[in-house]
Amino acid sequence: MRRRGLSLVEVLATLFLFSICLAVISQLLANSQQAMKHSRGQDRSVQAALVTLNDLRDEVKEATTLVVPASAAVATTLELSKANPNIARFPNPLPAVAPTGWTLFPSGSLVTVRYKVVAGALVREIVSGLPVASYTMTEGISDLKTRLLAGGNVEISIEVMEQQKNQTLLTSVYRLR
Amino acid sequence: MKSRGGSTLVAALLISVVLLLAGMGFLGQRAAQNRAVNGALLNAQARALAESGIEDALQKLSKDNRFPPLNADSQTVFTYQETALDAGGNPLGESQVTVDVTYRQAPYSIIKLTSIGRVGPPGGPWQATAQLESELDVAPKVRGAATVNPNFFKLLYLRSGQSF
Repeated sequence: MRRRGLSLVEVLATLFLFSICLAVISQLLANSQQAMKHSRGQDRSVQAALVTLNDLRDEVKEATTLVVPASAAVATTLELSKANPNIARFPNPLPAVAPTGWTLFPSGSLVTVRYKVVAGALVREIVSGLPVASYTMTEGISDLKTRLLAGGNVEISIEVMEQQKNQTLLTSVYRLR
Repeated sequence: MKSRGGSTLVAALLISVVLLLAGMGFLGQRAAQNRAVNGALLNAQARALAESGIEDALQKLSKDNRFPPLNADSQTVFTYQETALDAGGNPLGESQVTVDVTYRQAPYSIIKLTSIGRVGPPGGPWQATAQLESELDVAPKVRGAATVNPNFFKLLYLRSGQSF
């Protein structure tokens, strides 16, 4: 038995419908790809900034003295001193007679660290206590603001640049004191 | 009429395989993201448990004169554990606190505290751990002076092992 084929009109109509479907699907895929790319980029910047904020929070908790911020006024740096764990401050073994003139943090046992934004990046500097050094901690940070809250707590906010938009991440560091 | 069943089946199978691979790739991406988020959450929980251990030791030291309960004069270090429960009463993890009173007497007047936060079922295996070290100032007067110590019974720092 001879099979009936498709007419030219049927084939053209099918091709037309198929091309419309293909165009719609490719448009949807392109949009979703663009959105995912944007979201991934933003995720990375924000994630990096969140990790940075976490590091700053740990650093503040580790500090023995806060140099900046020193008041409720907003500062653009974070500067603090912390004990160098590599310097032995306590006599070991414990002597039978207590030493005179023992101090809690002898000179050279504290390291001063400063954070500031330079050319769109957060920079960490060793100011004193160890050889002066500086390195870029996180790229894409446009601003750092710190201020002292009641009870010696600290508020830190950093601004992340993401495709011409700035996003502010803020944290309050409560020191266990 | 010649049957076309065979070629239709092959085409259907091919399309299914392509869709399956695309779906698996997508799910694989999501699974990796999920693992990263879970890891961050567990680390945060471990850190919170370690901080709660330090807080707990502070409370015990401030409210109980006989804490830490040392068995002999030569004993200067006391370690204890507290289990943390979630809102449903299930164990979330534990904090292990070490209280070192070696330098409690003047002129040092320092109690060293170390707390390890562990997330996971009791006895392990632990999914995340975090350690914090601190020093508690217990000098009522400023060292070498007669004035009241403003840092009396305050933590001097809370170190989490960050390097310079």
